[in-house]
Amino acid sequence: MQKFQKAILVLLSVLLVSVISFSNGSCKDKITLRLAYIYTGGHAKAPIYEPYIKEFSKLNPDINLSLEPMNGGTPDVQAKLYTYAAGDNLPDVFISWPGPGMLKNFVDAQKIADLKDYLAQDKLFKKYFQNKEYFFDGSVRFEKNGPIWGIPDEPYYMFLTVNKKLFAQAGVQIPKTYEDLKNIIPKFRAKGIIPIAMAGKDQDLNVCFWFGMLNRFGTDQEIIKGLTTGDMEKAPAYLRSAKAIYQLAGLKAFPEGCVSMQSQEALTLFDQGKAAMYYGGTWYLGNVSPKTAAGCEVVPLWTFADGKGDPKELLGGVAVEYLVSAKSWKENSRRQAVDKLLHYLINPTLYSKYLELGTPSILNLSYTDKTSPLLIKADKLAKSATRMQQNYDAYGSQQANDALNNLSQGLLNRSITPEEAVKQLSEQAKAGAAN
Amino acid sequence: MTPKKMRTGILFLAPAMLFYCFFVVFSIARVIYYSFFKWNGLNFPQFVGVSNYVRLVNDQTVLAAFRNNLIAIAMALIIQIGIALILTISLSNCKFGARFFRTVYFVPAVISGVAVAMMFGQAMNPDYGLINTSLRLIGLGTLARPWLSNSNTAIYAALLPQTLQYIGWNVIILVAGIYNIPDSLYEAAYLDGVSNLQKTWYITLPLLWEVIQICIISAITGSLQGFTHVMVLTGGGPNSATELVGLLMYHRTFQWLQFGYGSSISVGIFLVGLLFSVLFKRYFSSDKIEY
Repeated sequence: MQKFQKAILVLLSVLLVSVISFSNGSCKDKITLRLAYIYTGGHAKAPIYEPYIKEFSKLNPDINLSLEPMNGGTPDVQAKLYTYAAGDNLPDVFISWPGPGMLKNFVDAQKIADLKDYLAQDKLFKKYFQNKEYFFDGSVRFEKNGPIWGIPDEPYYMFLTVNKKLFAQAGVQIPKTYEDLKNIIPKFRAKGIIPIAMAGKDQDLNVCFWFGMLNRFGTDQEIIKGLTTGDMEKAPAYLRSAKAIYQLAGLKAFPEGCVSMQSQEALTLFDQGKAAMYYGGTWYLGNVSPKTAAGCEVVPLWTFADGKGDPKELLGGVAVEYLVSAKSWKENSRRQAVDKLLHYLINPTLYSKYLELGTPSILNLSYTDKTSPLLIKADKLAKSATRMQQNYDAYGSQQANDALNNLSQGLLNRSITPEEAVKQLSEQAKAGAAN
Repeated sequence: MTPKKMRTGILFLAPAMLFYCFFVVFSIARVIYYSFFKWNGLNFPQFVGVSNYVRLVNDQTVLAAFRNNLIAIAMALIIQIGIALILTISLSNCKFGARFFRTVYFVPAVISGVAVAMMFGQAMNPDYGLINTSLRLIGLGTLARPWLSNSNTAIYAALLPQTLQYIGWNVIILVAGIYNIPDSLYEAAYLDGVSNLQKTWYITLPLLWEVIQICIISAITGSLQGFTHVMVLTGGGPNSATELVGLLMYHRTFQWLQFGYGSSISVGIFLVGLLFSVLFKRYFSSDKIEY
């Protein structure tokens, strides 16, 4: 009898605990969304973005927003996203880099949602992207009138940022041509100034630099074809640009040991007034302190005498976008929650704060007196561009992009000849296309 | 052992064995399984037979990475175990503070590899790093160089932190071995007028050989699995000069989305490690020495 009483007591306790757990209405109705983002750690946007997204759950008590910051360079974050996808565990909303090269695997495996109809029907997004649909092309939309796989978050353009004070110190002018650049390098070095801030470790400054040079030598069609098929014999731009990097490394245009530096370290050199210029995207403007920025100018990359020669052509497009997991999008209740989150994230309130950092807005917001002066100059440059082309790594396979990174390191430390670099790049691009 | 005792033993072992089978044995079996497929982790795997292994043996980057692993093994055997032996023998002769020094030597082994690598990364900075600054201070500025950016020095520089970090680990194992050597042997040697060097050569090292073998096999397998320090310091660069097979496996699997090929690299690492261990045991181990 005692055993029976004990058993009844245990059963009642379990029932009581279960009733208490499930009687909490918010526990049952609250949806948990996962947001994975890159604006964390040393990222210029982190001080604005992270407090902003933490407010979302307070403003939306029916949604519990689980935050997943993704630290590291592009390849590391990509590897993390692919691992999530392989485990069928993609966050509900996440940031990624654009282009078929980056997104094709998600699209083929049906892991991300097609947002074409959503963007066409949502009044706010329709308004935001009216007359700006060119942002979709090549970044989140890969065929005319085709599916749209994400919502652009941030545009970018690439240019040379120069420290005018250091140029004056060295007694040189801002280079308009490659010949100008070669002439001023020894003058910078004579004054103990690093001519060009460069880093080779995290597949950013070094690869972007190569893209900038490629763009000056070849047409976009031949460059993209070379990277996607490995057919680089018909694209002499690859060899010419590789030779330029190799030559600049030999002239000591870059910091010693730049191959093992992260981009943030290289930009610190620029910000501290130790390096005279860097070539990179608008995403780096936030890393330039206001004091340094006041003495800076943004200019197009130099041209080559035997190159395409149009200084007004810029590399630019969509830097990052928000993608939605197909699994979340299918479920109606989650879809509504994701809709709320997307409107919270792609919002003039947040984007206006970015203007101070020098981050251009996808929503064409007006400048304020707090807007970074470098951004105003960069925007002016972009508006005067004859055309803009998305960075080429948006098209290449992971293998090809990896090869670009490795071989640019080899060119920077001159451990490989330009001819050998292009040969290996071609082989890797071919293998990447086949695999 | 009675059947009842055996049943009890199995019952106690069962949870740990289940855990081990599920997380280790099953995982290894899956890796071997996927090595025969072409799979990007997202779509359905496609059976390709042994073509991943054919690609593996012909892949020059894998062979180059394996060469780097051989350098790691050599550094581990010469520097790690060499220094550990010297420290162990010194500790055994140390009358005061032996316990304190044992702790000091072991502490680096329990620090995160990432932290150690980052520290060495700063020390190797070509402009303000401790190494180059010290060289310039003592008038050897010509020897200062970008250790991690130079393709000739990068692999040695990148492997140095992991080699040095685990010296203490080997010290602890060797010290345990050295304390098993009877004092009577050293006393007899002392009475015979044997020098310290002769004691070490004829008594300590032969009797410690079994323990040294454990350290060697551990160093070999550890070097084949090397990843953390090189990943933090160079990521495998410049231009794959510091790529290790473990790092290569990570890049191929998680960045190139070639899960099948990455699995074949893992199987390759396992087989090479097994081969090294078997060969070492066969040709270098000897019968236990007793005096």
